Amino acid sequence: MIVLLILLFAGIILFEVPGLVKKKMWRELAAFLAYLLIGMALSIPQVLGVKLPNPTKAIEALIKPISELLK
Amino acid sequence: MLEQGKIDSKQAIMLMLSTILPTAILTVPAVTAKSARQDSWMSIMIATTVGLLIARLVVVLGLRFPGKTLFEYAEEILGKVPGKIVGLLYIWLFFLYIGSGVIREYGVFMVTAIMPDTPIIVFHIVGVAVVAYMVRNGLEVLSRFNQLTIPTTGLLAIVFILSTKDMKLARLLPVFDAGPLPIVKGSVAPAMWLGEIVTFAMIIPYLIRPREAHRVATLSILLCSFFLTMSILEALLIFGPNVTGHWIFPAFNAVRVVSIANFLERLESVIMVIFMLGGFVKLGVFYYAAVLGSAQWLGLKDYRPLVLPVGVILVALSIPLWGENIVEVLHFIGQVYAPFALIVLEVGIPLLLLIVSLTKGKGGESDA
Amino acid sequence: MLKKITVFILLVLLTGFLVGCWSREEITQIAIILGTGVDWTADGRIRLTVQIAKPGSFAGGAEGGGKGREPASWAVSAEGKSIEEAERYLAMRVPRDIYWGHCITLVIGEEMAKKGTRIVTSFFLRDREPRETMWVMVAKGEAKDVLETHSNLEKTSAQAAGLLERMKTGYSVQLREFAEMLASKGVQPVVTRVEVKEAGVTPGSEQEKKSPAHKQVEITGVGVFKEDKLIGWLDAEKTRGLMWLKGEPMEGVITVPSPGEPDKEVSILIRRGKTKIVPKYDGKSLRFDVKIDMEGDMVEQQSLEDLAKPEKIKFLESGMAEEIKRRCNLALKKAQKEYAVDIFGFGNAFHRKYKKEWRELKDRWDDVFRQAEVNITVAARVRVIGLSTKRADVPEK
Repeated sequence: MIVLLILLFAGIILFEVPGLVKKKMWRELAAFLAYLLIGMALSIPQVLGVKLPNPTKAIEALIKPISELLK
Repeated sequence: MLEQGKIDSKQAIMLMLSTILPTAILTVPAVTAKSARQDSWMSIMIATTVGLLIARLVVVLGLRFPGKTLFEYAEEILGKVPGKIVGLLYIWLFFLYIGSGVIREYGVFMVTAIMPDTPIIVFHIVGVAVVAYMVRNGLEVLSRFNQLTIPTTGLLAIVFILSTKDMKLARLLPVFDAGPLPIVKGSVAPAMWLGEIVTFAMIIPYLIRPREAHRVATLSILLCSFFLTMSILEALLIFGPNVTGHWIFPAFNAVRVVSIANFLERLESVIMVIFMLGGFVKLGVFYYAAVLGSAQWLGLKDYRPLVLPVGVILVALSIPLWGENIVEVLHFIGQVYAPFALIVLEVGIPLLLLIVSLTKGKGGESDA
Repeated sequence: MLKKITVFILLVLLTGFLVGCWSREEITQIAIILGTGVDWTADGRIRLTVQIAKPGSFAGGAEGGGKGREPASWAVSAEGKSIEEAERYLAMRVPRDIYWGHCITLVIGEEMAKKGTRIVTSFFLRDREPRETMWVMVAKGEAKDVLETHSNLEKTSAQAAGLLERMKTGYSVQLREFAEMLASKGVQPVVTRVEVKEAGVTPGSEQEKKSPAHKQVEITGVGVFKEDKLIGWLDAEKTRGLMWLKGEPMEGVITVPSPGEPDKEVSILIRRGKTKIVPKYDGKSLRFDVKIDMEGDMVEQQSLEDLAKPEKIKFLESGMAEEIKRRCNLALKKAQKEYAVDIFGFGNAFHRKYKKEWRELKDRWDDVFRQAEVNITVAARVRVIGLSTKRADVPEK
């Protein structure tokens, strides 16, 4: 699973980066890498079975009075 | 400008229809029928009013800043830092959130109703891969694809007519049984869905005739609420309020009941087609909005490099964000995310933007 | 060129991926269930009986001629603590994937129905394969026996039972309607009753002996439920009354005495009708005014008189109204006095009109219903009298 995921990321990098470097779009390249890093940070732990904190729970706590009303 | 394409008003209406409807017909009837029961159609009416107001709000804002999307005028209105924060909220809490929600609903539906043995992640990845291709090709391709697939929505009307045989009007009586409160409660979810018209703020600048934006938004909302009312009524008239509220996908069950002369039956594939094709477009719109918004937020010259990374993020978010199992998914959608998005992202912030822009006198006179 | 090659490779790869999917079920690998029955065994377990189609004997049955007919189905049962568990035990006997999507009938055994049908319905409503349109029936006796019979006319007894239901020869209930009745406080469920009875013979050729009288499924009324438990039956005659009161398919035949010769009968086939229930409640006493409008065709007369006269038709109509009212009252009395359950949906009618009062009464509705006064008025009309005016087989005087 993890190997497949890394292959996928490698594929995405190979697909996008050369074009960006050729066109010298450094800002875009930085943004691309930043988003890809976020993607990795979100997906790799899941594949390894690490649980991430769930932001929906935070919204749940925030919106609790209203959710109670909706029950 | 980041997006070179332009779409005409007809395409915009169809695009908005697909932005709202596909998941709405599947998820909303159950949530609404659970609290408003046989008066669900009244909930939809309330939701339609709210939706029309949100649509008006979004278009008025959009027309005050011609050629600019939500992300650009938010900065202009609120100033650089608060504007960026608002942008961030929309990217992460609206477009990516709903986008991953659409993926999850799609996966859950496939696994629950059609292919129970396939791991859900397969549907997620395949779905996003297809949509990523569409988004990379830009708004025009997205709306052309949508033009191709939107006629399937008409099947909803045909199915409705076919199932009249099994309907009883008495199932809608007595009217106003439980009083106003359950009806209002039941209107939150459909209002949130119709409020997804906020995405229109990303598309107004790319209309060929922006002046028609008001008409586009209003018509989209009315059409959506028409189809939504139809699918909710179909389920209610066939199963009655007690049973409808306890299906997970009432529209799906309702279609299964249709049987004309022992051969025109098993029409659930109709709902599946609408949901899958429409679901792709819906995901496409939110995906596109997230990518375009991010590019504008970061001040990029091209949004395409972001398409694949955002796709990865969408798939990665689809599982943890919406809970471990279907019970959590339904709870998060109906009781947690719907009220939050409705209050904060669909009404609160646009209203704030409008008020500030009016008081600061920013933006050109809206011609509406 | 490179692009073309890439596209070609992609196409080949994709076709490979797209045709197969995880949950594919080939027709030769699935066991199509046509009917299923659930019994409660003496030692408190659930016995699931299924009738499985044998696709081979469905195809080209007509040409088979000389070979003689092979039975088109196979009935097999297994026991378990729950339906799904029993199904898993079945899976050990059935060498194919069990497929519920085409199940036509769900037969609930008498003991099971007395024990409670909610134990049964959950699986069929929750699982994605069984459809909410399958016909629900209660067997007098064991459901197993019903499924193990064979139909002479249809390929399988499950199909035969399904067709009987579809023709609405009795009061027919789909699973979704059963669920709706179970979920409502304003009506108690009634479900078609089926029995295994001798039904005619298959005439044999001279060499063969006449085959023995054949046992077949027959619809013989309805089972009456209180919530999800079976508490009694209505026979076919009272079932008509029940259907007319419920306003369900208003068909059936009634016989009324001939105007001039009261000892001879005239048959009237009911074509259509409408039932309207109007509750009247003043806080203490509860009354239901039931108005039934019926329309029928005169199809047979035993008497010799000329019935094709307006005043005779009027007489027939009043006789018809009388008979319909009598039958409705029979069903009503049985439900009110003996079973004390509202199987007619009077509660729902009451709810529609008095929604505030309903909230107080709904939890003791059956009690309220038992004491309610019901006035039935019937307006009957004869529209058509067949192809002859006077009898064609009686000499002129």
